[in-house]
Amino acid sequence: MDNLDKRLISRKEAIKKAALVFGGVLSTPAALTLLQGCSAPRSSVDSFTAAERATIDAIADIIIPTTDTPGATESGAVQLLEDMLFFVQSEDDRTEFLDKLADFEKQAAKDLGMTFVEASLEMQTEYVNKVHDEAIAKGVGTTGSKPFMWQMKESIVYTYFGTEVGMTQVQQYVLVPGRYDPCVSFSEAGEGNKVWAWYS
Amino acid sequence: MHLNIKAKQANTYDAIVVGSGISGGWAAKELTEKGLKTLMLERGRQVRHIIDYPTGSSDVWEMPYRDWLTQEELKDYPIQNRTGYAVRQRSKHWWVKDTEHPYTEKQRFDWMRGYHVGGRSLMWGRQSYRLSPMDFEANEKEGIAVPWPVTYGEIAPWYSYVERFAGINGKNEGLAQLPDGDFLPAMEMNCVEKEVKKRIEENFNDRMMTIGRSANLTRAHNGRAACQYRNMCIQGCPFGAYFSTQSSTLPAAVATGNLTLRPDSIVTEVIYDPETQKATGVRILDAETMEYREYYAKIVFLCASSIASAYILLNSTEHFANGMGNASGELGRNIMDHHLNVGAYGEYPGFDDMYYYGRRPNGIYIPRFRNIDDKHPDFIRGYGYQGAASRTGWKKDIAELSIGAKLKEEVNQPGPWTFGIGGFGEWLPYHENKMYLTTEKLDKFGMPTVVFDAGGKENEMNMRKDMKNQAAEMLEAAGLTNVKTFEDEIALGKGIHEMGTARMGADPATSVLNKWNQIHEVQNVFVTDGAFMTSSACQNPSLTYMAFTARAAEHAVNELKKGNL
Repeated sequence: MDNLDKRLISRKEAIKKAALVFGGVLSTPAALTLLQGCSAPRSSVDSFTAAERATIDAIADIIIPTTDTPGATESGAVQLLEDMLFFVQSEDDRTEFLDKLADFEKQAAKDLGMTFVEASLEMQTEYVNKVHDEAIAKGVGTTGSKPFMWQMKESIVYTYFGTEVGMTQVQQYVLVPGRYDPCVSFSEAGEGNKVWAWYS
Repeated sequence: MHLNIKAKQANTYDAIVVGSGISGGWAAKELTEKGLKTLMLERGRQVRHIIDYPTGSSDVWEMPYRDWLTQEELKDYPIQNRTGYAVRQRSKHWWVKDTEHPYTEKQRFDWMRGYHVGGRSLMWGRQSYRLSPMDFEANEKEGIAVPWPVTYGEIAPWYSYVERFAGINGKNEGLAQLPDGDFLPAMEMNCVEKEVKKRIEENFNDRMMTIGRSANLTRAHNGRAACQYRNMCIQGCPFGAYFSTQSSTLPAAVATGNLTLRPDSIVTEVIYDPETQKATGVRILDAETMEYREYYAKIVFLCASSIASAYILLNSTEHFANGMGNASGELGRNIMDHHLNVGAYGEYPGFDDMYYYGRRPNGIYIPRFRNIDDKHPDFIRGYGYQGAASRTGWKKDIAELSIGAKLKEEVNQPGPWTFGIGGFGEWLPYHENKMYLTTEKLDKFGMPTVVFDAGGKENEMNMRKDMKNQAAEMLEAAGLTNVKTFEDEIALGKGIHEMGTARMGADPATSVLNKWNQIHEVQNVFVTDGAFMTSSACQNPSLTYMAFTARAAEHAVNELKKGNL
């Protein structure tokens, strides 16, 4: 009973959070999907459902949080991840990722006694760290497929360092260097002690 | 054709240049500077310098999808995307949509091209090397194909001429297999490259490593700004700091007041007058209006690219059943390229506290060392390597990175130095390596399309084994660790150095062009793009096209003055 109440309250919060992410405009079908829970069928072929997006947002900001520089969601990295997943990656890769995400949500609900997004940030952080460590320990296995959290980490790190925030605030990038210094110390290259952002 | 005299006069020039890429730009510059009223025809759209470089000053994060194409977009570029690097959000507008420009591959042929003013001069890799005396002599010495009708001594001053105008940076090394040139100051090697160079040269007395020679300005030159080390050349350079038609030859041609540039003009054939045995002009299909038009001139320069120039000649069948200039049967044959995507890379332990500033649009070059003094048992000719050392990415791999705030610190611990090289190998000219036209498949203009039936043979395959093994050996000897080799499937065209479809030679029975790039049978038609190449050598070829084009233009004008054309 206790748990059920918590879940209902948190679900409302989750909708609020998702609404914020989508600029306050949450369409009715998406809101319904969210209220119907994780097992509801996908309503869209070109974006996350609101529930999926809420989970991805939460995980992404745990992997790359806002510090003195913006984190994953604020930088636009999650949006980039979503765009790439639905438009750049192959249908097979996308399905695989979404299936793994669904499995993660199911397992999280079982482990946490509530859906992942309903859990407190502290619980979420602890849980993501645990799942992450297990994923890395497990390795790619015989299928060559990385566990969800490993893939999620890889994806968000990749997209974060494709955003202006990642490339210019965390790492460094100069649009017009104006010269080439072939051998300078790491501490004196550009801003110093920062890796050049890489884009290929 | 019933044209009134006035209309014909309005469509008449001294010279017509077909194509606006590296060769076409040079032809237009040289002919207009020598006073010829010149019409330059380009099948694709207009691209104005800077104004029409849509991503020329874009920051990388402004590209959607982190620069990748969507699955939907890729459907238009299945072939152009075969290189894996060429088609990106920042550069997709420079490549043809394969869906609009079909062709047939009896054997795989990666035909990479852009239809627009400037052609591939906008997207080229800018590496600029002279062919050497041994390259011009090899066919004759080895009895391969036909001898080059031109010696290095004849073309050397023209190399100097084009280098001085284009602005090629590089270092003179006094090598027999890679002649010195008239260079701008060389770019510099980074710490690791300097060290690898030293160790390779210590360990292999037949090898050396030099800085790449590229068409990027290392100082302001001929009214153009110096390279700003953005390494965004393919986006179009707002500084005009690399050689392209737009930055270099076109402004020079326009300045003469003698140039007319007509984009959207697909040349379908060369018009011929059997009485004078000369070409009188070209027929075009206006890509916008779908109307045919004729333009007339005393001389025609075909600079449409190896495949397209051969196409135009093969399609000029009004008076030549097998195509204009094809009495030898060699037109469309002997297609060559450079075979590549084979080499090695590894990590360089050390220089942990060293880094660099700026993005150098150039790498290192290891000139050919095979079959110079010794004779390799498995193949003739040779290959060079291009490569670079860099320090990109961070120390820990993704799996090792922490989760949370600490991740942001860890990604600023630079990873190890890496150094890699890939070979560029000579491809022999084979008579059976051919392209031809078919009417069974028509393009959207109703024009015949190209069929490719060409590939690599034993000499290329054996050379590739050596390219891979020697790359690994050199890297090991240079002290690199974790050395890995790579090798892709060999594919004609993938080097984007296709050439040889209208080779030059002294004998009209076995070649299409004479030593001045004139068609043997139709002497007022010149072909000066890669089609003229009698052998491929292993050096990047564009500089050679520039030199031969400038030389042919001077010859053409001299012959015109003498009344010979």
